[in-house]
Amino acid sequence: MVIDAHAVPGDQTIQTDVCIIGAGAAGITLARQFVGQPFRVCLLESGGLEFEKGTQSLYAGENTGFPYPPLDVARLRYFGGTTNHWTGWCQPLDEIDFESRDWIPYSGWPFNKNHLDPFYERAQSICELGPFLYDADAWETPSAPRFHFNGDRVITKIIQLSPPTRFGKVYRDEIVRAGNITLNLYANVINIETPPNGRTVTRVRVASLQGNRYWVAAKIFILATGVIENARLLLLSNQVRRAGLGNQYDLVGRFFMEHPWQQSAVLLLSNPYLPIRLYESYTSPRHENPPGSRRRTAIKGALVPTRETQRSFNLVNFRVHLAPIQPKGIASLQFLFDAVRKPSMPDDLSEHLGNVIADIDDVARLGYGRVFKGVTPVRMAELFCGIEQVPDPHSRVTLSTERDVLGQNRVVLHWGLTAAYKHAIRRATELIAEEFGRAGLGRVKIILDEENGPSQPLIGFHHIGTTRMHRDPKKGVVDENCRVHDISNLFIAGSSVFPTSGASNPTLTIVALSLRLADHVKRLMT
Amino acid sequence: MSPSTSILRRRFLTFMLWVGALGLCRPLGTWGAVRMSGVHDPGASKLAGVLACKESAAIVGREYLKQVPSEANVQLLLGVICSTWPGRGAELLDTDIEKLRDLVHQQQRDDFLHGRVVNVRGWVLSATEARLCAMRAVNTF
Repeated sequence: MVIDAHAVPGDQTIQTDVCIIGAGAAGITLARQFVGQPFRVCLLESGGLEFEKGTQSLYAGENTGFPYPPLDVARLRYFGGTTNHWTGWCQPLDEIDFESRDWIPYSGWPFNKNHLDPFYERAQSICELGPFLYDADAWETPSAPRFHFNGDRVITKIIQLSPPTRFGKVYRDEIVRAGNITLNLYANVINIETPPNGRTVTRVRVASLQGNRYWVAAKIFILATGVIENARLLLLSNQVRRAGLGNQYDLVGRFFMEHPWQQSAVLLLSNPYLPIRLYESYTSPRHENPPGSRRRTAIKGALVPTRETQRSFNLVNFRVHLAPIQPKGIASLQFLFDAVRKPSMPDDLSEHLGNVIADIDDVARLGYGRVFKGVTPVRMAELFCGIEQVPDPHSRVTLSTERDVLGQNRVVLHWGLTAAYKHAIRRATELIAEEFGRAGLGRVKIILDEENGPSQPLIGFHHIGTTRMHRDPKKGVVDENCRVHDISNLFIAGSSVFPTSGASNPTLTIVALSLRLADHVKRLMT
Repeated sequence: MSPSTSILRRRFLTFMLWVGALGLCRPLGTWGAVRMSGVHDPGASKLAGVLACKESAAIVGREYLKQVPSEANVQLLLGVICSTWPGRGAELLDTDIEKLRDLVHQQQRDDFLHGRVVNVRGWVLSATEARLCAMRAVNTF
């Protein structure tokens, strides 16, 4: 059932069993797990079913730290959340990401990867991915082999590419039809209410942009509004505890992390006929998705350091991606082929012909490679390096004095990225360069210029941290079950609970953790 | 992440020319004898036979010597390159070119493994290959 928050009678209290606040990847995954369960679920979504400017503007805030894009463009605030425009790259975190590493402060999860693997496996189909296999040997083929490096410093890991799944569209009908789920659209939670002891949540205050306000009371509440909004809502709920809920040790909002990345090098391959298509978007014939169908999952290889490498060199985790550089003449040749099929002649025909002639050697090499070797020759590729950000308590979200149209304090994001990230990217790239050289596969030109280069890395738009998980309430906002310490019935879902970011795209882990939390809640409710 | 910048081929043609010397890592034709500052060391000449392209090697070598001018000496370079060989270079003249190539390749791999690398205008090269290139460049100084 779907309810429009504008139409709910003012100050009414909706009674439910489980209240999920936020309908993005985490909230929708949770709700789907509760379909058909013997308890009622209320799913509160700030937006509607499509993008609306007014709702989106509720995300607006201030950036004071390392330059960061405007906060109201970093996320989408309507049913489906940011999955409405994600690119679909999926990869579990590595084993080492869960470990406490003495060279990375605040590292360590309350459990290891083995514990999360069954949930990752279940998350695969939710994200419309192939089998839970991420080692290159499960996907490579003779025509798309991995790089064979000497030794064990760097390996190839696979990224699976979701279609990408638009959670709000793919799973909408299932949620709308579920007899025990009520989806509230345009329902902005503006306060989490607790009794004076602050140890349980009794109800949440909901407001629509048109001024309607009501309550939702439940036995269990799950906050799934994203990294920044999860922290914001806890900080805003300060009627009983002045510092906000779950913030008795001043941890809410801290440890905000991202995945900074940038082009760091150019690779010159020794053998231009060495197939590198595993590292581009590649559809491997080895696995059907789903089994028995003719569909295949697109994948992409990434170069990653092994656990031993990270330990030996005290490195953060990283991913290096390749993007082949094709000469202009090759692109122009493709353009001309396409143009021949069309009835009209392009205006820039002469320019493309010129490019083909200027790059005739590459064009000839392309023809030779395609005809005799079955590969598109590549002489050079750009290398892009993305790294794990070291957790930093000074990288944080706080409340601003400015208020939004609902009267709520906006946020201030102080992204605490230090210059150390540049050193990490350089060291990672040097390591990759050494491995290409050592294997005789090619040579790498590093194009980082720490002193004169751009000070701004690219970002993954991966918000992580702010309500980190730790067994010790002095070190984490939520416990290992994602329950806010000292509050018996308030849970948090999403990447805000990640203690560390790893270097993998976070959505698969968000979904896996949501499945894990759903199982836990089901146990509590039955 | 998707690449947002593109580095065009032409911009790298120059680099590719001199980094073509890095073809050290693949089977290559031999060069002619190396002329070095009037020092016609037959061992150095033979060792230079493993290089792929003398023009490129000289460019790389000159760049390397700008960073390490103290190595602009054929005998010194030869000594350093061969220092880990069983005969410390004494076997050079009696070793066929394929065997030399294998020795150099192994040394390059060891360089990369142990971090004996040099950065020549951004290119990460093994110390051995940079010195081989420097050896070729010395006679142009």
